[in-house]
Amino acid sequence: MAFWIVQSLNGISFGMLLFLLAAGLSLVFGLMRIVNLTHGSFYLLGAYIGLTVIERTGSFLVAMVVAPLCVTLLALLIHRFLLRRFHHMELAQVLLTFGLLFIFADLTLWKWGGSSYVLPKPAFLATSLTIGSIVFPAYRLFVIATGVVIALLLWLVLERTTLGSMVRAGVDDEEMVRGLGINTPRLFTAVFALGAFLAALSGVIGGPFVGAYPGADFEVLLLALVVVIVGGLGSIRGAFVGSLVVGLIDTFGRALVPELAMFTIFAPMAIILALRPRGLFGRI
Amino acid sequence: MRRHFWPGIKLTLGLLCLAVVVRLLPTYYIGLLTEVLILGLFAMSLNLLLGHTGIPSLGHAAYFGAAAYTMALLSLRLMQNCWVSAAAAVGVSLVIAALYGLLALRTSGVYCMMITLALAQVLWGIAYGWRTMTGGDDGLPGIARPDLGVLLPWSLQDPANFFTAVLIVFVVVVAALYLVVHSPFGYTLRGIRDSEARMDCLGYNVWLHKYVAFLIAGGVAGIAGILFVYYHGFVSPAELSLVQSAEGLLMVIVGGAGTLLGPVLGAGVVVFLRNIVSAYTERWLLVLGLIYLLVVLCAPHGILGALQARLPRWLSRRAAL
Amino acid sequence: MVRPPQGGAARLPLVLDRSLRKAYGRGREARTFPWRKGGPVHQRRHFLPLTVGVFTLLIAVTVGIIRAPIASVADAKTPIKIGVLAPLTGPLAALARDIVDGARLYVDEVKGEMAGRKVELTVEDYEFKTAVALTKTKKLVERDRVHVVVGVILSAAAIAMKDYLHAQQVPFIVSGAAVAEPLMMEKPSPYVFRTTFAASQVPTPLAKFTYDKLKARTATVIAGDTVGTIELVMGFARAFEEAGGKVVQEIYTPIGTTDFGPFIGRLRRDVDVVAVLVPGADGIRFINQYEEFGLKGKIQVVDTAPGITDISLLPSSGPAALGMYASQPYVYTIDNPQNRKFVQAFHTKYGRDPGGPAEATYVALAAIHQALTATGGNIEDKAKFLEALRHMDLEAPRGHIRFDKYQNVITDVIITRIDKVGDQIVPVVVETIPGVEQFLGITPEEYLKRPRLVALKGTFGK
Repeated sequence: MAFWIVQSLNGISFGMLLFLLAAGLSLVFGLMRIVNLTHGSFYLLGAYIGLTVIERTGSFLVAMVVAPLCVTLLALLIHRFLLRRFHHMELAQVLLTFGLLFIFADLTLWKWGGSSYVLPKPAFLATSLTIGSIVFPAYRLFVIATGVVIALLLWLVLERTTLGSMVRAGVDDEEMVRGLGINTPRLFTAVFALGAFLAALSGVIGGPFVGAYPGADFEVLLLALVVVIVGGLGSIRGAFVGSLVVGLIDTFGRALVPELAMFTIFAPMAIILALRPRGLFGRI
Repeated sequence: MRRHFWPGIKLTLGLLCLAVVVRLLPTYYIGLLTEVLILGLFAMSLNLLLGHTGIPSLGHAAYFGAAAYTMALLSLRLMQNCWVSAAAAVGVSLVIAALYGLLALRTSGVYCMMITLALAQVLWGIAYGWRTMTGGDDGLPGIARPDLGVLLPWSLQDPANFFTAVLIVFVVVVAALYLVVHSPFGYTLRGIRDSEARMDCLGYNVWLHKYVAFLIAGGVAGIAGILFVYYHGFVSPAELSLVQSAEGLLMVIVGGAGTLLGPVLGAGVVVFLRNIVSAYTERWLLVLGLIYLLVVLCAPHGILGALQARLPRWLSRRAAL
Repeated sequence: MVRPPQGGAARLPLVLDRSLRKAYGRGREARTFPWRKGGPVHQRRHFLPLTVGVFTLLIAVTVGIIRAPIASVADAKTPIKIGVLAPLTGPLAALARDIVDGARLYVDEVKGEMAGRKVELTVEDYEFKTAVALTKTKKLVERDRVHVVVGVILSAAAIAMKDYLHAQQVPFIVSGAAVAEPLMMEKPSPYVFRTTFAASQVPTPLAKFTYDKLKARTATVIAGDTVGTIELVMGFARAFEEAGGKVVQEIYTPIGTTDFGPFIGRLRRDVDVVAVLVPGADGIRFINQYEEFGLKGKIQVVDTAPGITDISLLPSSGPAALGMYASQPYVYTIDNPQNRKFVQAFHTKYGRDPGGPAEATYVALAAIHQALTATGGNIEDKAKFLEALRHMDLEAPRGHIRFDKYQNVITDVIITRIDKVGDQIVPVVVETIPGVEQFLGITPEEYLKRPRLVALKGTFGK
């Protein structure tokens, strides 16, 4: 019994981590049709910058604020000067973000070296909760909580605020929205920056979990793609559900059938692709 | 009559010169050139999909790696005749291309990209996880080059001989691709790339053309995979990974999408940077990324495309490349 | 353009609009690919000689670059080139630095000269990937013309390199780890030596110790899923069962696993000891998560070789690793004169204590030096040099060592416990088992008849 509870909690916490990773990608893709391959780099940059901030200031909370802000600034510049000129040219945008992925991979290797780092957890979360016979790390519960909070915030912003409706309208019919006097290029830059913010935040929060090391950007990107494909392209709700599904399947897969450990991440994806390429909640 | 044959004669002479000149180089550089040819084949197959048909595929390494693994497994476990193994390997990559083509061609644009990537990752996951069969992350070492006995009395262990063998395969495949690209089929593909709706209106079976292009691309990638296995003597899940597909894409874009030999140029750039520039600076990947960005921003036809566009009229010939 | 009514199908207008635009070709779709502004793709000038010309240019450039001298003639005065291959990028980067630093320390101590010839080190990073290891080896051998290759931690990489180095006739001294049995026992090559240890050598005494002194009767083994680490825990498992214990569970984690939650959840809580070999950064995460899930102190953990307990990783695994036992051929706390000297020199030069790979690489270079002295500086005569290398007999920092018939080192095995001494986390030597060799006391022929350790994977815990 304890086994099932612990593994379920493991699965949910991993799923929430995946959601944090994938939310940014799903947002940018769903709203702007850009497959932002630099997403992985934003994660890694967030994690590395968070690491440096924690080393300098000793505070996890400061890192949680500073690192995403730095990365957001970078993303603003990237979108404004590189991606915006290729508006509606999706292939060009993908190829550009892809080149940036390689560039950032090398730059981070240069700055932070080849070692594999794990971010230190904040002291008050570095404990374990004991309920009966179950011992579970507090930090994973924190990750679950953060995932849910961010999901709620995103949903609130997109569905219940004027800004959110502007963004949704801008995607559906850009010319009309422009005609209404709304500055869509700036709007899209803001959305891209939000996506990067989420990626970097997941870098800091996932850092104690996943860590920061050369190659993490590719791995995280793949994980995020799996979630987005399973959950459905363009839907935050899909990303949430998809990440939970993938997290649980993967955790139980590793726990019960460890020989297929790597395959359990890609199996749900393969099934969805074969049966329903749109994804669970896709809005193509 | 002679004028028709003249380009062919020039080409043959050029290739003979190449084969001879290469023998004078140290073995390290012969090896690098061999790698350029092999990866060039891989990139050319992707170019057929991306540059000529407009299908963006981020999972092209799937066919490359599948053929490589088939070849490796057959050579190591069953020790069959290398021709039979090669045929089986190409067969496997064709089957996978057939299956993946059905799934991927249901979508277009960025969706196609993501789905092809996902499909390749599935294959990667199998290669990584199925340790007993594929050796998992440790890979399959110790694959020896075949003894061709009857055809070539020289051993393929010698790098120069192996290069010549690869060059022969390369020339044959390029000739075949040339025929494809300059046939009505090829023109139809380019028409589809430019506007699917238009071709559809004109009455062409767009889906079938795309599917056949997919198959051809998968097969050629398979051939590249076979050569790769013999070159390195080793195969691992890296040959199926996103990084491998990404490199192929890089080679196509940098070299010249939509040309014929452009991707080989791109392969040359990548191999050159990775092996030679890396001896002088560790930041070769950064240089590669920057070149790539420059190409995407300023010369979307790639290096070869840009060169071709700038040449004065009187140098141009009917022979398309 | 007539729009269908809004509401609900908000996405339709976009789709309709796009296909209509495509059909009428407003110039925008022509920019889909390639995306250069200026309308539809124009006719290209096609050009055959140009391409061949570009190729010839590439080749000419290559030839031009390689005008740089490549030593092809064996000359008694040319420097000895030693290639050092280490995974400087990746989960074992910390141990990789040990390899490079150990080599450099030795070269500095002999002032860059061995038997009258200068010595040069060429360091290459194989990123803990076998494919990259092969490429870098080719570069070292064919481009840099190294005379010997040392280093390498990943067993799979060493096994893949073996065939190539054998064909190229380049001696290869494994000095990082690469402990897998197939490296030396299957298709043995006279060119391959190992100064680290074999998968059977180091865990076996630990298994006996765990059974006798720690009184453990049941065990679970956890290892990274690659041949080297698998063999180490299998070596432990086999010896533990031979001593009378029972291994009840095997768990293997893919290299690069970040979330050990599912695996720790699977661990049986009723075992006496958990024998691990989770390498590098993975190991740090494992031991930290092991503590998080409340198992530290409840179930004893032993490191079957320096995985988590390697000195380069202790600062990161630190408090979580306290109380672990480990078994290794070398630890910096060994108390003998040459080790004290070595640790002192290493500490002075690098500001930290040396780990196993550092000492093994130092020893590898010392072995090369000894062999060169015996051949009078001649490394080009492969047969003579290999013969001299086989007769290595050194007072290494770990003690007296020499090679066995299969060119693997015969070494003492030291069992340590990670303790807190003052405010430092230190591996304290608990027991020393002298003169262990990879065939564990029986004849090589007898030992080779037994299945290789990696074949035992999955046979325990049934």
